[in-house]
Amino acid sequence: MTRSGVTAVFVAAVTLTASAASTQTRTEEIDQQKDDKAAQLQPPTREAGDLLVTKLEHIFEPEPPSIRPTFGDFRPGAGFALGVESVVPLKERGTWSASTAWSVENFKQFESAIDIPPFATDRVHVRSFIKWDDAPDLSFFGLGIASTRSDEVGYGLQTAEAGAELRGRGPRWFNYGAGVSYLSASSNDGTGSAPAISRSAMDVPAIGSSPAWWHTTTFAAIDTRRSPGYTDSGGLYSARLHDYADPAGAFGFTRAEIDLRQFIPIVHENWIIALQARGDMTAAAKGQTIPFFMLPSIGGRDTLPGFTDYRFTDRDSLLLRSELRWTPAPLINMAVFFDQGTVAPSAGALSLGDLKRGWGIGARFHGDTFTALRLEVAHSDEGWRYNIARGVSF
Amino acid sequence: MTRSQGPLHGFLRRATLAAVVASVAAVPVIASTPKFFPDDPIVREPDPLDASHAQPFSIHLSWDLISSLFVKEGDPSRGPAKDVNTIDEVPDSSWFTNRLGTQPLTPADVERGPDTTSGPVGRWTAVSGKSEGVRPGFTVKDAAGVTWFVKFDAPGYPEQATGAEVVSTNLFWALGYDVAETHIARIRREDIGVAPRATIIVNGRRRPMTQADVGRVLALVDRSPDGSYRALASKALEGKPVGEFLYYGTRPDDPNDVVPHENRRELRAMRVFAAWIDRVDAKAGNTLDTLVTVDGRSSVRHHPLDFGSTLGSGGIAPNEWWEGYEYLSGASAARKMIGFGFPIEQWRTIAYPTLRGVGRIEGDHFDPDAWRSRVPNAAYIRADADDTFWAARKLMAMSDAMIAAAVRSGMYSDAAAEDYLTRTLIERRDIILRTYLPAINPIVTPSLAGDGTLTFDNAAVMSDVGGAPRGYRASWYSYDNLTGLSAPIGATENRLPTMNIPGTLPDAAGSFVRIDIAADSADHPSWTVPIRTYFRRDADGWTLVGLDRT
Repeated sequence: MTRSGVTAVFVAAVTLTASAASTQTRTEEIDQQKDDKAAQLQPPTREAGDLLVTKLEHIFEPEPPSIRPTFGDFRPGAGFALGVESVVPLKERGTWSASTAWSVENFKQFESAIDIPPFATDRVHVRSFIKWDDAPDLSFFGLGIASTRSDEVGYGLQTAEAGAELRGRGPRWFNYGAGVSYLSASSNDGTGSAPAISRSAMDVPAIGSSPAWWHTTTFAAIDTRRSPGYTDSGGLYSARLHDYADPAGAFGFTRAEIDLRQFIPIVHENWIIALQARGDMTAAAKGQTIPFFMLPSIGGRDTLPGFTDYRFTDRDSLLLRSELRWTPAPLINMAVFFDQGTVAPSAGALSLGDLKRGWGIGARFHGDTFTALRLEVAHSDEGWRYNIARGVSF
Repeated sequence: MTRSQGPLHGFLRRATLAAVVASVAAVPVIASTPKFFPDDPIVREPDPLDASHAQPFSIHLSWDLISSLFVKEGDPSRGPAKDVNTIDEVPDSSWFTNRLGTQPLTPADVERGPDTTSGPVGRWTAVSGKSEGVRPGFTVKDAAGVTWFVKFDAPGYPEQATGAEVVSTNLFWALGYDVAETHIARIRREDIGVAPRATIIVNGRRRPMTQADVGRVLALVDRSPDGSYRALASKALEGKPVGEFLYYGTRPDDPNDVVPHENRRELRAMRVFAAWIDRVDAKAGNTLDTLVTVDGRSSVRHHPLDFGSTLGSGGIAPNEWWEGYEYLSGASAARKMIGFGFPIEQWRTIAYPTLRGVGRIEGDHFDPDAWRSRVPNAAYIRADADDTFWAARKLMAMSDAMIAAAVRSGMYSDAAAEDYLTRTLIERRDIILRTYLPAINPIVTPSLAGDGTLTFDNAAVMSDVGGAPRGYRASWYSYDNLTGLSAPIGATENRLPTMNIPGTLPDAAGSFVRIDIAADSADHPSWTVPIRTYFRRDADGWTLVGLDRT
């Protein structure tokens, strides 16, 4: 040990002794800890994750007036989309909103709406809107349940609509509403890889047409679900009627939609049996034609996941869906599903013998009132398909 | 200096070195901090330093949830609680006030809880409102000018959240926490006015509040058949709010906050109390720090708040089935994903009664060890056997009458509901006592009389949750408070929790004895692990100054 080493040890010993002697009571010891901390006080800081989440909230759920990103609200076939929405408060409780979105399949949309302040103790909501939608690549396989995949042709569709709608909440679970709008549509050959619809040998009603309608609609529903975005119990029993009146007297028709859903929880929602029966029926005005793109269709992620989008089209459709869901974790549902559907030129011709069937399995990631992500693999006699989507299957 | 300086130099050098080494070796003796200071055990934390610079702090609700689920927050070392005194008790502090088991509480005290008034009086004037979010409500001033935060029951679930909040608040007050004064109140729409500068948040934006907004908020809540509204009125806490407290770390702007929160016993043990009343929502958002001034000095006081999600209530509806049994992330998600819903958890088979005001709570299947808050809580998951034993001892002091009194404060209109909740809380308390009191050596309240008679109690036997042991053993030592060395005096045994000194105890003031006490129980092997007790000879006899349980 060197002299300097000896000295260092000695100094350390003296220092330790002095330090130990500095507190004679527990109170002093605690006070010393507080004094030490008081010498290095800092303002509270938030963790990086906290700041990130806050930032994301400001981006996606900003305080109005605001502009925020959205994922659009496209029909099936659009693919992944992004958009922006602006919301501006109007007077005390109204809003003006405008949104636009664009998808990877080059679908585009724009919508603007004014929501006037709710009235009748917030039970009645009225909004006026204009919207424009461009779907450049949609599929059509011909009419009827016997259509084949090889019949696929492509088309594009642009629609523009302006109108107003009212939604009301009655006692308990009763909802109702009505709306009126002016709707114009224009179909074309589209931009997809499938043969253009105009070159099809099929008899396609109103091909290449650009009709317009006065669209009036009304609906009534009993809705006992937890929420439209996610539920594990309850049911939805709704009926909606549409009248599309063509001022030119060429393409007028009516459409009725019946949607019945029931969710049956078993063993405290360990399993949930989900059932849906949906019928869409159209009827052309006397002497008029229903454009093919306004006819009911089934096929795709929200109807028959085992089939491609819009696979079967006709004047009437019937859809019977069933799922056995189970809940491996509070925010995850798994499901095996079995879906059947058919289309026909009239309601009377809808035959259970013609049902097209598919099945599959999926996982859904959800919150109390929303379904954030749906991953599904489905199979039908036309092969395998996968779906990645937002929102409930039904 | 060279070798030629001879053997004397070598001797001196070695001697010097030896002296230095000896002095260094002696340092621990000289410098040792005594195990016990003269003021041990402290029963109250020392006066706080000024914390007037504490600033508002909050954590985003989603980040709180995410970090609780996926980030291991807090001290990675799992040691014992750090804020206890030398006899393993929690001193009074800005976090906790010893009441139950320390103060002579009566059932009436528990029914009253923290209340200093009889609730809001006269007509209310709304100064702000919230028409969105989980529970709409107002901030009002009553006719006496007192500020109250007002919430309501959700439609279809009358009395559930409001009742749960008052009952649980009063129980937590009795347990020792600083909670807000809460009352059940009745109000009619026409008795709520709007202050001239009142504001309300609508569509995410704050704007002036109108009388129509009162109706809109009330349209979202449960209305009684007579047209009135049952409300939960929480009195504004004393002091200036400075945000939430986290269940880990310390406030960097509070000089008095020196023990990481995850190592605070009253927060760790809160897990047991939360399990008892099924308080599943253990997030920072259900807490509040306030800056209070006492004797001219500002300090931060810490409050658990928002007890609407207790007693099986989820605040806006009954709890989800899984709440209290699993974390939000699920217990065995992967296995169940591929198992088509199998195996079925036991909690999915539990039947709950349908009673007005009662959520999903029951006692038959309650297991406090298996109980889970909605997401992991950094303090709860660190609760060790000492912490849970301490909590169970608190609940030992919670009598049936006190529980009944607390439930009475919920003002349930259905006597069957009141009776069910009382019975359920008693049942759950008893299960907690059965679970945690016998889990470790349950010897408590050791006392050494001046004549050398040692007495103590057995908490498990006292609570009738553990059979009396075959006997007790005590090993007696004289104890050197500076060196920590113990010298055996003798050993004693007795079938009963009392023993006489085996020999002669030191009688000089300031001398210490250590007595290790164990119980001989075939049913409870853990009882054979002795607790270490330390007594100091004071002028008026022996004082318990130390207790190490595990």
